[in-house]
Amino acid sequence: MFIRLENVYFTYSLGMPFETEVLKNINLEINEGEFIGLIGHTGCGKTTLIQHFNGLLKPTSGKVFVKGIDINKKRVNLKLIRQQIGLVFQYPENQLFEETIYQEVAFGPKKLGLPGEKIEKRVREALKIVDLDYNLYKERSPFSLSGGEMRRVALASILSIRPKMLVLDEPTANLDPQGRDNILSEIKKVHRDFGMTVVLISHNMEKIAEIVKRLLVMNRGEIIMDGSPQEIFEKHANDLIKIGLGLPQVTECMYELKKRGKEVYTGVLTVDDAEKEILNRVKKINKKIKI
Amino acid sequence: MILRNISFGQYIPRDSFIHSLDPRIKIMTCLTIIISLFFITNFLGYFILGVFIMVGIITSRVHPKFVLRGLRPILYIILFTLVIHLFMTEGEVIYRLGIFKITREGLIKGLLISCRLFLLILTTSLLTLTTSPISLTDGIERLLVIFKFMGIPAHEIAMMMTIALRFIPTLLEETEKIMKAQISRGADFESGNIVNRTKNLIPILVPLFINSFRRADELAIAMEAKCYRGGEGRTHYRQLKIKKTDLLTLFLTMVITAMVSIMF
Repeated sequence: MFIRLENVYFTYSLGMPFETEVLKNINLEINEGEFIGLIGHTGCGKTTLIQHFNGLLKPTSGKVFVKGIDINKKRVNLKLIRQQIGLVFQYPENQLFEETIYQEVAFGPKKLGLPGEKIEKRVREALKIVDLDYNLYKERSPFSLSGGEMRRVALASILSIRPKMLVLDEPTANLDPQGRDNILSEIKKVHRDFGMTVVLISHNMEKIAEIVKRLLVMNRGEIIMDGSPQEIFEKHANDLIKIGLGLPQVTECMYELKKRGKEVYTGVLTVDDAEKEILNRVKKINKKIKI
Repeated sequence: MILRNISFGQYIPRDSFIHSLDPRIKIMTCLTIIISLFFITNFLGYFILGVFIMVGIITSRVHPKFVLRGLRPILYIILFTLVIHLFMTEGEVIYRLGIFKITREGLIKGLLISCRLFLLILTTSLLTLTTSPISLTDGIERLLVIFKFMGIPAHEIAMMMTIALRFIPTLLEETEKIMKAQISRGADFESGNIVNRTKNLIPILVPLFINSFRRADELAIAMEAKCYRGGEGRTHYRQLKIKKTDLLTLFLTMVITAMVSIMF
């Protein structure tokens, strides 16, 4: 088990008139190698929740364990924990500051105190994962890049720390479809090739549901659903629509078919799966007619 | 985090007599009190004025906790001046500590200055706690108009202040976000000597400046797109009007402070 949250509550501005309870009784376990999507409305506490993973925020009450260690106890080396859990904030391109892309990506490894050649190796590796050519890009200024490229550099600057777990807060926000697909395929790549545990935050079901293996749905500071996307779309489609999160378009299409009396499986995530499911259904009907 | 708890200069909306006063009158009242604070030279005078300000705080219905919270950062400055005065004033020695000596004159002077600073901050935070930034700058703009013949661009100054005040919370929020992002990348802001700590500020300051410049650019374009043309001939949605109670408040304050200043 990688991370365990026990009865975590969090309140902003405790004791002030602006006090707001953001997290309510969060119980969560994340295992090594999982690929998780965290979905909920803006302001439902997603970003607050992930900041508890590496000790940036301390719960008002409750406990957070990383590999069995209670990280909010005194004398816990948070630096070591933050090295294992790479947090990529929303609009990470806003945190770039170095003169060259090389230095930007090397910032993390340098802070780890690695020797020069190892740093270079890590920078090469990280830039390769995000599909930026090392020789072409290393001397360029990060501020001369396009928005999508900047975000990839920011992602590389976290990957170069070689975290065991990657947490991304809306990594595709404000990107064009091309940039969005690039980032998502890179995230898939680190999960597949390096076995990295990934938590992906989004307020949009589209695309995310397709690639993650486990879905957490948050609403008003609580985790209200936890399961595989198929399971959730099959069982809780109504609730999802009720809280306004909606379903991916294909899934909604199947759901509407079912509503109209066609016996189809609604836990479908991609157009291809939907096609197969509908064809199967048609074949069954044809068989019945023949008999 | 730490940055969220700064309450000096924060506006707390309430429905009270002090809140409803005209901002121009409030600024002038505060100025009167502040000027009189520099005339008073004994404790009784400060006590009377202190009670007067306390009455103001109570009628403002802002929780005293907030007023005191705003004082916290100033506490060190007050302590510092007190200590300097204690040890640096010549006069009758009442206590000796090695080469340092505390004098009676130093003690009295230090305490008087502390009272003065304390009441000064109390007065100004009462002003900012009960006046929204917009009406505050509105008031300043109207008051500065008096100096227009001297070539002071009242509207421009007020507009700059409004923009600056508007972006303080945004900047604080952003600083916090960037700090967290850099901490996640391995930056350390809490240990090391002064040189290292200063160096560690670069990953915060560079993105902060870049984002601010970008935001300023965007704001300028947005203002021009809305046909902003400076203050000339500009009308106001919120018209400031001086009421009888406003004048009465200013008059009362002037009388009290004048009496206290002359008598003590």
